[in-house]
Amino acid sequence: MARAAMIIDLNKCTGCLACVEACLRENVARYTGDGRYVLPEGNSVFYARTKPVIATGRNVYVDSRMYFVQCMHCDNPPCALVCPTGATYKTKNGIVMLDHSKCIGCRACIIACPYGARSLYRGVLEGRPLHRYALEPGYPDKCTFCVHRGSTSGPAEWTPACVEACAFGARIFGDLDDPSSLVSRLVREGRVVTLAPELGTRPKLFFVPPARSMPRTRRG
Amino acid sequence: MKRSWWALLVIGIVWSVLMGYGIYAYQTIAEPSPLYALVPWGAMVTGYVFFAISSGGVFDALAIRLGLYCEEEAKRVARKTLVLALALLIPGIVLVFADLTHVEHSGWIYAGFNVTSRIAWNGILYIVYAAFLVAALVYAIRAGEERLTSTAGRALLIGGLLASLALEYNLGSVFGVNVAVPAWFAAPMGVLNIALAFLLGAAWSHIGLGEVASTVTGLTREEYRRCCVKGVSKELAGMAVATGFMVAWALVQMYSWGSAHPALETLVSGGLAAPFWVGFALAVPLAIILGLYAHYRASRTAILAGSILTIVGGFLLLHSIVAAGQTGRLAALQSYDLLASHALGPGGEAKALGELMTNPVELAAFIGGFGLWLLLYTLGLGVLAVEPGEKPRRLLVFR
Repeated sequence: MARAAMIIDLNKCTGCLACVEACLRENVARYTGDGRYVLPEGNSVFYARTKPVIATGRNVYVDSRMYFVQCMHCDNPPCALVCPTGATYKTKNGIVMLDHSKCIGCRACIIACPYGARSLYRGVLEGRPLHRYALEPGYPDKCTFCVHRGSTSGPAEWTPACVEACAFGARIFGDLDDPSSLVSRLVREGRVVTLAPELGTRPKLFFVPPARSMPRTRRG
Repeated sequence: MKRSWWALLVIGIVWSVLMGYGIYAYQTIAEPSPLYALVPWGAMVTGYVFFAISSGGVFDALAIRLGLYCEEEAKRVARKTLVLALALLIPGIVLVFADLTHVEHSGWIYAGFNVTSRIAWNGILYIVYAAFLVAALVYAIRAGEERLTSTAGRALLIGGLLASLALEYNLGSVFGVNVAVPAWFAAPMGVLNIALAFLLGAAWSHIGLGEVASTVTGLTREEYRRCCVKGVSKELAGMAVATGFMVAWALVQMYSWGSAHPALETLVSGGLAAPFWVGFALAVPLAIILGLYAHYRASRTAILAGSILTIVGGFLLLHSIVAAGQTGRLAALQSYDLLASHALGPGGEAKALGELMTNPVELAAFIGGFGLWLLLYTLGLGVLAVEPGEKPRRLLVFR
């Protein structure tokens, strides 16, 4: 069985935010029909499905000032656990998805996510979404690993928009259960960390910490 | 109908408009703000918990007095008490649906029932409790309150009691089951909710029976004083002690768990200290003092003051704890902290607190809920056969 996963290599990330812009273009922007694309009002970056954050100190898990907040596609997703209608669910290939047609908007998933990965846009968006899993106002939006480019049951062989946009190869996407994939190899070699592993959510978004911290990370 | 009945009805209608405005404004919000994601549960969420446990508390006390102890005195006010519980439950259910951003999909709570979700269980428990409550009311009116201590009557009351206790516990546990929010704990929140339900139930019983029903129905103040003041005041004082103990337990747990410290600090000495301590003072020590005074002196003034202060304090206490759990994570969980500081700028926590405590739309919907209660309760007392021994003449339960 395939298990889609992503790795963000913080050694290679320059903070150019091309991934954020690509995510906004792919999943958040709407086409108005007259050649214009519109974004949410206010701080649009907050509604990107991968949100850059810069800490005043270093994050204790990734040992870096800058990292990204986005859906971790946990193996044990707390958001799916608390969802009363099953609107938040895990696909066969391990992607945590939101079924808009079942979501009642109780926001329990926003409360339950320990990573702050879900955001709710309550403004008005003119135009039509670019695909069926794009941001819809009033729903607790989240990263889908751009599954509209691939499938919810097959192997993780597509390329998410953020991965495609990264000029430095800092984002790697692949199948955790495929021993030959780079994602699987890096995880197997213990070169990656996750945010808050002690919570037992078993995230599938991994970070490669900056090189200077590697020995300490390995020992940890 | 008495003139006072019409007056209360008109007040209820006018007051309910506030709820209608709040719900309409909330449902049509088109103002983008990161706060909807950072602190998503505002006064409407606390509001529906408040009304639901108030209803449960009113019902629980009656169910214990009649279903378990078969107290003859409680029969005289049984029908009115059941109408009171129903009138309190309806604003709670209205707020539940009004709070959803996609209420049109709410059928999926049942069609896509998720057994691990406390909110899904709430959907079941609301219906089960409401069914027992309505059945007990219809039974009391059709068969007479005397029959409430028969096997069938007791089964309805005890079934409703169990459903109500489960609902109260589950409503509290919604705040406590996830790993994300330091400061919300399943066990203390569930038991705290039950204690608070009995406390609020005592307060509402006095307001509903001792003030409203004794003004607009055949229940005289003297009759109410004889049957109920001592029991209600004892319940008020006793459950205030239990509530105080549970709040202390929750605070001790927050103190013992490092990541809950920000929430504890916000509650006891930070931005939520004022509503928390005022709520605690009103719902615990003052309720104990006034409840005991009313018990020993059979004082209507003391029980009235204690009831009003308990209702205000109970809400402040509950809402402070609900708010602290959400603002606490902004400081305790780094991702939230960073998102809040980037999205809201300096003073993000103050903005989040302001949103949770003073959002006018949500407050209007919640405060308007009192108007809907008054409207429904007054209407129920006027049109249903609620006097002891009264036989319904129209449509099963109506006068």
